[in-house]
Order: sequence, then C-alpha cells, then structure tokens
Amino acid sequence: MTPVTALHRNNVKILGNGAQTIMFAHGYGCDQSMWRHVYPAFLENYKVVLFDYVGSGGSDITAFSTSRYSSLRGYALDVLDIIEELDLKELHFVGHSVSSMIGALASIDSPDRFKTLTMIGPSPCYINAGDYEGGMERADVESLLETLESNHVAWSATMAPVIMGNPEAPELAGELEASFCRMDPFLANHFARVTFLSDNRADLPKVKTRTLVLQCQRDVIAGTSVGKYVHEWLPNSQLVMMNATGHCPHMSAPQEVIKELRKFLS
Amino acid sequence: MASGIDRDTLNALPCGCLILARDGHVLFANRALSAILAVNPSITTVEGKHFSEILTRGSAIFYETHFLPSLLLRGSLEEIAFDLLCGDHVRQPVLINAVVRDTDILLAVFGAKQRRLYEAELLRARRESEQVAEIVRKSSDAIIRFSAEGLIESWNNGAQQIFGYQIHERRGLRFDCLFAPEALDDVRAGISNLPCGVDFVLDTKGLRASGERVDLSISLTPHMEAPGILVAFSAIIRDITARKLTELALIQNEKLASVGRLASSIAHEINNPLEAVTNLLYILASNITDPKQKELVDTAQEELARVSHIATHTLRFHKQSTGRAAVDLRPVLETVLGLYRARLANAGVETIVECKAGLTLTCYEGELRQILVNLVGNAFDAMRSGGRLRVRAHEVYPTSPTGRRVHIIIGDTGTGMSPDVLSRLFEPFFSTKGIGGTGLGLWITKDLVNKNHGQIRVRSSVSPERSGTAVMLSFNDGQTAE
Repeated sequence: MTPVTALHRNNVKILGNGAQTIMFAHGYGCDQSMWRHVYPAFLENYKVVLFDYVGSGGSDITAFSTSRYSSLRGYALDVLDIIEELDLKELHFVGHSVSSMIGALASIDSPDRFKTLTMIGPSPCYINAGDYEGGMERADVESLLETLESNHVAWSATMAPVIMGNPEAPELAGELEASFCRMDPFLANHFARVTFLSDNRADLPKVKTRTLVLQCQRDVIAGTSVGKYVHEWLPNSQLVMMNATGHCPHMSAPQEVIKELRKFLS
Repeated sequence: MASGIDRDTLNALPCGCLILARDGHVLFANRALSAILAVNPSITTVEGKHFSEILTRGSAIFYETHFLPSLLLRGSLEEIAFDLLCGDHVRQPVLINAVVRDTDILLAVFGAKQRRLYEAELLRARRESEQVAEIVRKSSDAIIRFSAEGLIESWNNGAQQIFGYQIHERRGLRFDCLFAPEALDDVRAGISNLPCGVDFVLDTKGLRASGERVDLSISLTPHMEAPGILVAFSAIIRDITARKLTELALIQNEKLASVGRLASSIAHEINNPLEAVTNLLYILASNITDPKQKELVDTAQEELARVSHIATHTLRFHKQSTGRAAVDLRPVLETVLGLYRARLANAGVETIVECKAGLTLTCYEGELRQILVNLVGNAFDAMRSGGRLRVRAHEVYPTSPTGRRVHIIIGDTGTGMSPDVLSRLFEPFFSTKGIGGTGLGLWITKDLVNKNHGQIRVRSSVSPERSGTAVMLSFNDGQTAE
C-alpha cells in the first residue's frame, strides 16, 4: 500500500521553475482555482505551489479527521507536511482569509522555513469579543450554517465538473478548472465552524516572519479595523490598504494584488 | 448604469432582477425585487447599496466566501439559496440565478418562501426519523426487519450483539438461521400466522454465530398494506438468559420454602406425641429403681430433649416473624450455631461466641436467623480441615445522630478469598462452591441485611499464615421509620 502523501491528500500542484517558491493558500469556501488570475504572473520567476485543504477542491476527503482538523492548527500541519515533502525553504506564503492565520500558525511552528507571509483579508478572530470588533456574532455563524444547509443540493450540483467553455480560462493548469470551489457539504460546515469560531489573536505576536497585510475596502468578512489590528500585533509587518473592495481582491482586482505582491517580494 | 437595457422591460419582469457592479454594488433593482424586499421603490432605493447589505449576515458571508468566488470562476450559477433582509427586517428566502458579464453581474431573484417552508418541513421530518432510527440502531434488543418471505433485510446493533454476526453476513438469509433447530417449528408456526395480521410473541432458543444456544423472547409484528397483503414483518428480540436464571432461582427458592412449610407443619404435628412420650418417660423414670435401667431411661430422656429442641428451634425456622421486634441475640446465635455444632466439632473447628446476655436488636427475627445461618455455613465451608470460628455481637454508640448500632462479626480462620472473588461476592449466581452452591446465598443475605437497616462488610485474606474471612454486620438499631 502506498503511504498517503500530503501531495496527494492536498491535491498539490507545482508550476513554474524559479529559485524561490511561492505557496498560494486558498480561503474558506473555495479552492486553489481562486488563484488563477494571480499565480500566472509569478511563473516566470518563481516556483508556484498550489493546494487544496482537506474537504475542498480536489483534496482526498477520505483523509478528513474531525479531531485533526478540529482547529486551524490541523490545517497548518497540512501546510507543514507539504513543505516537508517538497523540502521547501525560504518560502513565500500567500494566504487568503483564514489561510492567513493558518500560514501564521505554520510559520510559528517552523520559522526557518518561511521567508515571508502575505495575508489577504486576514482575521485572527471573526467574532466580536469585548472591546475587540471581529465584525460577527455567533448567531451570524449559525446563520451561515443555515445558508450552507439550504444550498446543500444546489451547491452539490455546482460541484459537477465544468466542461471548459469559459473564454477567459487560461489553459495553464490543465485539470485545475475541473472543480471550482468544490466543497463537501459536511466538511464545509465543519470548516466554517473552525474558521469563524477560532480565536488566534494570542498567536499574532509569536509570528517572527516578515508579513504583508493586504486590506481591501469594505470587506464585510474582515473589516479594515481587523486588518489594522493584525498589523499592530504582528511584530514585523506592513499594512497596505488597497483600492479593491470586498473580500476576494485576488479575484476581483488581481492586477492590484500582483503589483503589491511583487513590490513586497522584491 | 448598465447600458443597452430597457428599464421598463426589466421592471415588467415577473421576477426580481438586480444588476451589480463587479465590486458588488447595486446598479439597478427592478420593481419585482422591491416587492420581494417589501420596500416602496419611490421611498427606499437599494441602488447604490452593497449587495451584502440587503442580505442576512449568514447569507452575506456565504456570498463573499462561496458565491462570488465561484461565480467569477464559473461565469454563472443557478438556484442558489439566500436570505434577503427586507425593509421590515423580516428575512425573505429567495433563489438566485446569476451570470457574469464584462463589467457587471446580473441576478434573477425568485421568492422561495413556500419552497423553503417545505424544505424546512422535510428537514424536520428527516431529523425526527433520524432520531427514531438512532433509537432503533442503539437498542440492546435486536430489532430486525424481514421481507414477506422471511428473509433478513436489516438489523440493528442489538441483533449484532445477540447473534454475533455483522448484518452483511446475514442479509438475504432466511430467519431459520437465527434459531436453534428444535425451536424452528414454533417460530415457523407463528410466522405463518403473520399474513392474517396477527402479532406473535414467543420465548424460544436462538443460535449464536458461535453455535451457542441463547434464551430469547421474540415479538413479531406484521407490516400490512392494502388490501391485506403482508409486505414485511419485524421482530423485536430480547436476550432473556439472565431472566431465565432468575426464574430458575425463584423456582428453587419456592421449593425450599415449601420444604420449610412442610417441616414446620411436621414440627407442629410431632410436638404432641413428643410431649406425650416425654411425660411417659418421666413417669417411667420415677418408677424405676434399678440403676442400670435408670441410666438407660435418663439417656432416652436426654436424647428426646434434643429431638424436642430440634423440632421447636430448627424446623420452625422458616416461620416468618410478622413484624420487627427486639430480638435477644444470644439465644439466636446459640441456636444457629447449634445447627452446625456437630459438623463444626467433627471438622475440628473451635467455636467461640461472645455476646453479652440481654443484648437485643430490633429486626425480623426469621431473617436475622437466615442471615446468620448463611454466614456461619460459609465459614464452616471454608474450614473443612479445622480452625476457629468466632461470633461476636456488641453494641456501639457512635457520636452521630443515627443512634445505637449493633455489630455482629463472624470471623473464621478458613481458606479466605482472593480480591477477585471478593469483588464479585454479592453478585447473584456467583459461586465458588461448584455444583453445591446456587450463588444466591450472599446475594440474598445482603438484601436481607439492607432490609433490616444494616450494612455488610467483608474482609478476607489468603496469605498462608493468617488466612481467613471476617464478615461484619452493622445494624442501625431500631427507631428508624419503616
């Protein structure tokens, strides 16, 4: 029996062939395909690593374990497994949304593996707690779970592989587009709880890696005050307020993300 | 504003229509959408708002994390459920179809209140049936569904426990495979009546995977469909091994009790002739002068006194005292030991009784005797090759408000018991005496002790030099309410 590798488990794709490596980590609700407008810009000078968290996209959902993935640390372990298997060093880690904190946890664990962290729309804690304004209440998370349940069937239908007919699809990553934002409904519910109910504020000061925080305008998931909070508590970070709006600038305004990322990495 | 679209046509559409900028701002909302949102379009406008502002929070998070990324990647999405936030803060369930264009996003919005209610109802029904299914699955009784032909279709954890098979090993097989061959005729007879719609209950023998027989109680229920056709039947099966053992014990107990009653009546019946013989011997003794004959008559009188003692004190044993009463302990201890005197002496057991004259305990006398007979009997069994039996009764006045207590300690220097045996001592049917023991003695003893407001504690040692067992009975004497 072949041992389960992280490369298989997390549907890892390795593209490009630069000396340095960028790893793009998707956020909650989507998969690696959300980077399709961003990663091609880096193929020339970097090795690009894309992957899916267990339960998302083309990951091996049989590898799911409620206890391993009961906190973001379990997802961070997956990131470290991939780094280990590919023996990546001086890694530039780009995480969207919840992946920002997953990357932070991984970098705290193995700081020597990480050269930089880039956090797009990060939040260490989505729920309001005392003076801290995460922007959500617990009831909002319950409401999200309800919406997920209502979309159980429709979303499963959305999972069906898409026959390529999208004129803007770059043919760079082959089968990548086969599963836009595929998510097992049960695991989506699980990942939603882990994502939105986690509180990793205490971990921010432990991050030693140089970090870029990209904050959009009018992000309803992780608002500007949250982005500033992250910047304040990270020992070595810079905050860039972008012109892009919403929670997914790498999809709605990829050029601006590419520009900021290049500036930070150079 | 999106160009090339006729506003009037959009306003006339029989579904809600929204045009969003790619950053999510509402460029246009038609009249039907205002109606869905229950806002007056001439007073309130949603144009210029961000789409997530007219969604409930959960829907807004879903929009940002699932819907928008997926929509931008795929170009279109269909029948996605959202909750809109109406003007009056009521949530309005809708279904949305969406398509992405060069500069904007078009949304068709359909009210889905009825459909969502129906879905909620289905979901509630599913949860309820899952709860019932959970109960069935986890029941320790076997619950099995058979086809009308008697083939096993499904079963629960209880069935797996009782029969020792996984369901996949038995599915599709006939019910016969679950029962002992000798029990099959009865089971078949019951099953043959099921098509008439008649329930059927039977105690029978089952067959485990190991080949072992098991006592079962089965209850079969037919599932009928119009017009009177059996479509399936189900069985609820309980393992009644423990119940059977209890029944056996009860039967045994009843036998003993009837022997007791018989003995009691015999004792009563022989008392009169005994008295007559005693009187006759007395008269005879006073008329005899020959010392040799006198000695014989004296011996006869002594032996007769023993018979009389046995008749009055032992054969009437079972006679239940009608209520709790102050019982003089010393005579009770002595009569109980008297029962074993000959056997104890033969085995070379030295017997010591320590009990102050006049010490009383309020209890059911008959039950106290039964307790002591059991415990002394056990002590004797442990000392078949000699030893010392010490029975001590004394009163204790603790400072606690529970008042006077009486302790009775029965100690022997017998073989003792291992911790293993000690831990199972009061289990019913647990015996170390092989075929001779019912395993009920101490179980009953404990029950009787508790009933008489007492506790029983046992200490035992098997270490070679100082082996033995001490049983302490601690009774709360008296004044407690019944």
